[in-house]
Order: sequence, then structure tokens, then C-alpha cells
Amino acid sequence: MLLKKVIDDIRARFKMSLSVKENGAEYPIFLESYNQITKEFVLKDDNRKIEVRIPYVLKLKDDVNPNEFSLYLLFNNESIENHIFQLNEGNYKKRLGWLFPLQALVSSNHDYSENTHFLRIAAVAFKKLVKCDYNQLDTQFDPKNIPDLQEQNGLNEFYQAGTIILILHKPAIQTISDFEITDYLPFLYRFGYSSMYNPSKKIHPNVKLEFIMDSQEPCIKKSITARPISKLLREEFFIKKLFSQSLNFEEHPIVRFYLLYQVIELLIDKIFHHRFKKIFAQLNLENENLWELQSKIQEALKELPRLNHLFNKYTKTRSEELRELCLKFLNMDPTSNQGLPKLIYSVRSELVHNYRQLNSKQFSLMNDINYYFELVIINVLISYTEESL
Amino acid sequence: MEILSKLMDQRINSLNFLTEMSVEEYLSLAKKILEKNEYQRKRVKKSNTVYALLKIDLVKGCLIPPLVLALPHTNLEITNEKLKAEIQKGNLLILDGLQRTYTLIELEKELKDKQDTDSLKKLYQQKLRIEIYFGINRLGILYRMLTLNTGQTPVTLRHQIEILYLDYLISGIDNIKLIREAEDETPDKLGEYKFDDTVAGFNSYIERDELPIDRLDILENIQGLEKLSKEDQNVDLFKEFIVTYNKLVLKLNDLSEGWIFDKEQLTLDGPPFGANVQKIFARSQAMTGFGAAIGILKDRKLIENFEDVRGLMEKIGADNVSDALNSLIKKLDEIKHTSTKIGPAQRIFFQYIFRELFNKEGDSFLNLNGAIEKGYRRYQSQI
Repeated sequence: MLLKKVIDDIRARFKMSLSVKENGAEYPIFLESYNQITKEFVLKDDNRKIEVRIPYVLKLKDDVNPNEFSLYLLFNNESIENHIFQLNEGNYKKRLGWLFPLQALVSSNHDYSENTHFLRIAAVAFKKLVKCDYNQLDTQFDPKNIPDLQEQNGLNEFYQAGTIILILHKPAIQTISDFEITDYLPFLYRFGYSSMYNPSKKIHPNVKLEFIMDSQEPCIKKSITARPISKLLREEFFIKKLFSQSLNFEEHPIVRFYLLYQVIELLIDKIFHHRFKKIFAQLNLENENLWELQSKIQEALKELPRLNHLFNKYTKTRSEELRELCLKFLNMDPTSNQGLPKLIYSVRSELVHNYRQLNSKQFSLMNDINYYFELVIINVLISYTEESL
Repeated sequence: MEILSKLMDQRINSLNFLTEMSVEEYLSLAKKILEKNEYQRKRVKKSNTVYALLKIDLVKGCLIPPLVLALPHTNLEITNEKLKAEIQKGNLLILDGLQRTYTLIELEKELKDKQDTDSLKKLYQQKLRIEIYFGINRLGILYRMLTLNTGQTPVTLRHQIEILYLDYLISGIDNIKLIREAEDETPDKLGEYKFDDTVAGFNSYIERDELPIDRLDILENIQGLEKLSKEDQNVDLFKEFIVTYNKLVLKLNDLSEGWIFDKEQLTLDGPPFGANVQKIFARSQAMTGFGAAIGILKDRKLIENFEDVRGLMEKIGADNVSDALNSLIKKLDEIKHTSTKIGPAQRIFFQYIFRELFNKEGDSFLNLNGAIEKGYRRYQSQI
């Protein structure tokens, strides 16, 4: 038991610190000091025989209390160095913190290298990363690397490529009731940020454009206004798992479609329960026309009407791009004004019932269909409401 | 100090003196050396087990292998007495034995702190053999430093360059001023560059790579060594590199006719890479791109040497200089907004520009507009 505890303590110590390799052995290292002349953070091992120097290339603005901030790690293996954003909260209209790639801490080539506000946050983030003072939303893997000891080791050598820093101001998030950062993950996912690291994950080329174009979402180049998923959906385990794991690692386009469609299934099931309860809440058996009642119940059971309700009443969801792709997939007249709910339902039916007859053109459309379908699903999750219905 | 032997190293055109001196004398000399060259002060902190054992052995009177120093000097005709006087000034470099030197200094301090006067006296009286290379040839010294560096404490090529050329920080080169990073000064006049950036540029030339990796393993440095070995050892190559680059900057400045970035004319998403020619080309990305490009062209026998490049510069032209520079700024801005790592991406772009500019078999030879356009297309094809 004692030996097990010792081993567990050693493992915990490794996990809670950066480490380097030297002569085949690994050494956990701990922050010792900052050298103002050489502009390096100096870390040493327990025996003070190994010294690691991590350069800090930005101007050090050290006048903010790091205890006022929480740091989370996200991942985006095609992240752009210049994608440095202030993160705002859409419902409360508050600034929560900053979101930027770790690369922005080890380079002075981006647009914020002279920005005082960013420099303050950068100093806090850098020190937290050096001390491994971060939160991981998915703990199934270690986001750290163990590099070989060099004359200098860059901070980016100690973390996976594509590491994104999400740093939140605690006083700000404390004003938001029931704040959970995981509720914002689907929104952040649409920009390629996820809680799990997958080096082979390809980001759709349109994701990069989202940052450049002035889209309908208030997502301009300098800030992102994030919205959480609907309160009614925050306990749904499947949704959390979808955006943290499943979509990150599932490559096959048909399976990805199925996974996304499961959200539709989940929500139309909720709609069924909601409408059913309403019917029974309003029921007055004395005066009720039972034939009409039967008709209402039958209607509530049908899938397509529930889909229509989902897209038009319980959310307000449109996607002309997805609609056109579905028309192509179904080989329908491109000028058809068939609505999105029916079209997405038809695509789903084709995949379920006629998979064996799909042609190569249909397969080739699946990646684009999934991209827009993801955006639709994220919008649906955020805007789903049962109020006034 | 006693001079035991004097031989000529024909390979690097330097005299090699084998000397013998006491540890006390060496320590006095070593402290002067380390004081004068801040880059030799940077100690690579590796596992100290080996050096801890060395300290114990030194106290017991062990003999350590010869340390190797270098004394850059213009005149190879020198008497032994004059050599001793030069050595005492301390303007030397430690080619091999830096960590052993630090070990001796630390041991001296430990014995003083313990007030172990007997051991200290014994240490001071021990003899050391010191080889001293004496001669002008820095490139030869760099070559010798790398080939000697098969010891336990590897040092990167870049670090060796820093050590070797540090005195240019003080003296400058012709009308070129080199600025130290620690001074927080930024180059803002023509002919001014950060010393670190010039070292990076020169390193890129030797490695033929605008993104040289700092390799500690001597075997991984072998390609750089092979390139060095083919260079004319009688030429101060670092000086050639800086002078040539500066000439290019001056030429481009002349061509620019006072061009300054105008935000009314060109809309960018952030600050420009540089607001004028000096600001653009004083940056590390441009210098490393230039170094790598010239190295690659030399390997392909499209240019002979830096003198050749300087000769070509007079003929550089541009259809419309303002358009060319605006195009360059715009492309650098696009790279900034689309790259996972901005610095390396911009270096690659500059490398392609200079390769196009000085490639006599290319369509954009000595044409600035063409070189920028073609360089960008080549950059895009690589990403």
C-alpha cells in the first residue's frame, strides 16, 4: 500500500509539473525564478542539478494577480498564431477573458505583441503554464510533452502543438449564475476549438474564413461572443461527449452524420414530451372532443412535424447552404423550395435505408453536408427553448 | 606560463602553441576571458555528476586533458614574449574546455568557502596544458570549435557564432552598427541591426535553412560543418554576410525613393510588417531568408560568393517600386493572418523572394516585383 502511494505520488508530481529528458531519464522541474537580464524563466529539478531556461519573448507585464484567473486548455491543431480574441459572454454581455494559441506566448510576430492588456494576460498565462496550473476539460490524456534538455527550451516544447489557452477572469464568471465552461464548448467547437487533442483532425477550410468574414454571429476579428447551450440541455451527457470526444475522433462522414443526427433525435424526443405534457395539461375530459384529442396525439407522435417544430418554433434555424447541399445529395431540382427539416430528414432516410445504393457523388458531398450540419446543430443547441410554446 | 611547442595548422592557417601553466594562473586568465565574452558566461546546466567527480579528482591531483583557447590576432609573426603579453590581456576564446573551466572556478570557490587552504594551495600548484590557436581566421576557429566539440557538453552552432563574433558588437563593421538585445534598443536607422538577428542570418547561410534548428549533437551539425569546410578560410565570412546584406538594404532604400507605408492606400488587418525599407529589412525574417537563399544559390553554383552577390545588386530594378513594396507588405500581412507560426512562414517567404531575385536562371532575376510575386506563389505551394 505504501509503495503504491509512493508511486501514485510520483505520478501526480510528474503530472503537476513540466519535465525534461536528459541522458534517457526524465526529471520534473519547478519554477525557481525569472532572470530579468536574459529574460528567461528558470526551472530546476528537486536536486537542483538540472536547470531549464524558458525564454519569454514578450514584454513582461507582471502587475496582475494571477489568482484572479483560471486557465483552461483547449486544442486546435490548425490554429492561427494571430487568432487572439477577447472572449465575451453573449447572454450577459460580459467580458470573460481571452482565447489564443499557446504560439502567441512564444512569438512577438502577432498583432498583440505590444498590446498592454494582452501582455498582462500573457504573463499570467505563461507563469501558469510553467507551473502546470491549468484545468483540463477532458482528462483522458496528458497535454504535455517531455522535451530533451537544450540550452533553452521554448514553452511550446512542453505542450502539444495546437494547444489553445482559454483564460477566464474569475470575478467575471462568478457573476454568471451556474457558469460552466463546458456549456460553451459546442459554440467554440464551430471555430475548431475542442477539449481533446487530435493531431490528425482536419479543420474544414470554411472555419478559417469565419474569422475573416463579418458573419451574422457577432464574431469579429478581435473578439468572440460565446453563447452556452440551452439550460434545458445542460444535463445531456450525449451532447457533452459529442463535442468533446465523438466528433473529434470520428472521421467517417456517414458516422459523423449519424452522430449529429442523434442530437435531432434527442431534441424531437424532448419536443414530443413537451407537447404531450401540454396536451394533457390542457385536457378537460368532460368537454374534450376525443377524436380531436386522438388527432393531436397522433400529430405529436409524428417525426416530421416535430422536426418542423424544432427548426421553426423551438429554435429559429436556417441554413441555405445546407438546404442546397441536401437538394444536390437527393438529386432534386435545385430550385425547389422544399424546407430544411424535410430535406435533412430525407438525407437521413437515404443513409439509413439506402446506404447500399449511394453513389460517389453523394459520398463526396458528405463532408460539406456535415460541416453545415454541425453549424445547424450547434445553433439548435444554443437557441433551443420551450418558453412561450 | 611555459611555451612547450609551436606548430602551424595549415588547414585553418593558424599557429598552435602548446603551453603549460598552473591552475592558479589559468584561473586568473579564465575569469578575464569569461568576463569579456558574455556568451561564454552562459553555462549549459546539465547533470553535474561527471563534473562533481572531476572536482573530487582534481583535489586528488588528477591531470585533465588539454584545454583549447583561441587568440584572434592579425599578425602571425610573434615572439613568445609578445604572445604571453597578448594572452595576459585575456582577449581569448575558449574553444574546448568551457565546462572544465567552470568546474575549476567552482572548485576554487568551494575550497575558499570551506577555508581548506591546504587543498586550495595544492590545486593552485597543479599544472594544466593549454593549447592556444593564434591567428586571424574566425571561420577557421569556428570550424575548429565545432570539430573539437565532441565533448560531454555540446554547444549549438548558433552559440558558437555568438561567441566568435561578439567583438563586432563593440567595434561595428564598416558603417554598420550592431545592437545588443539586452539594451532594449531597436534598429531605427539604415545600417543598424540587432546582433542576434545577424547571427541568426549568418547561421541560416551556413545551414542553408531559414529555420535552422539548434542542434546540440555534433553529428547533426555535420552538414553545417561540411558547408563551412568548403568556404574560403581566408575570408571573414560573417563580415562578408553583413556587408552584403547591408548593401542590399541600401540599394532597396535607394530604389524605394523614400517609400513609407500609407494606410490610406493599403488596408491591412493590423500593423504593417515594416513602415519603411529600413524597418522591413532590419528584421530577422528578412535576414534569415537572405542567408538561406544565398547559401542555396551558392550550393547550386548560381552564384560564386558574397562578392558576386554585391556585384549583382547594382542591377536590381523594379517596374514600380511603391507597388512592389506595397505588394510585399500586403503578402506579409496575409501570411500573418493565416499562419500557425508567423515568424517561420515569413522567413520562408523571404527566402523564396531572394532566391528569385538572385537566381540568374529564373524569370525574376534582379526584378523586385517579379521576385515578390513568384516568391509568394512558391511559398503558397509549400504550405
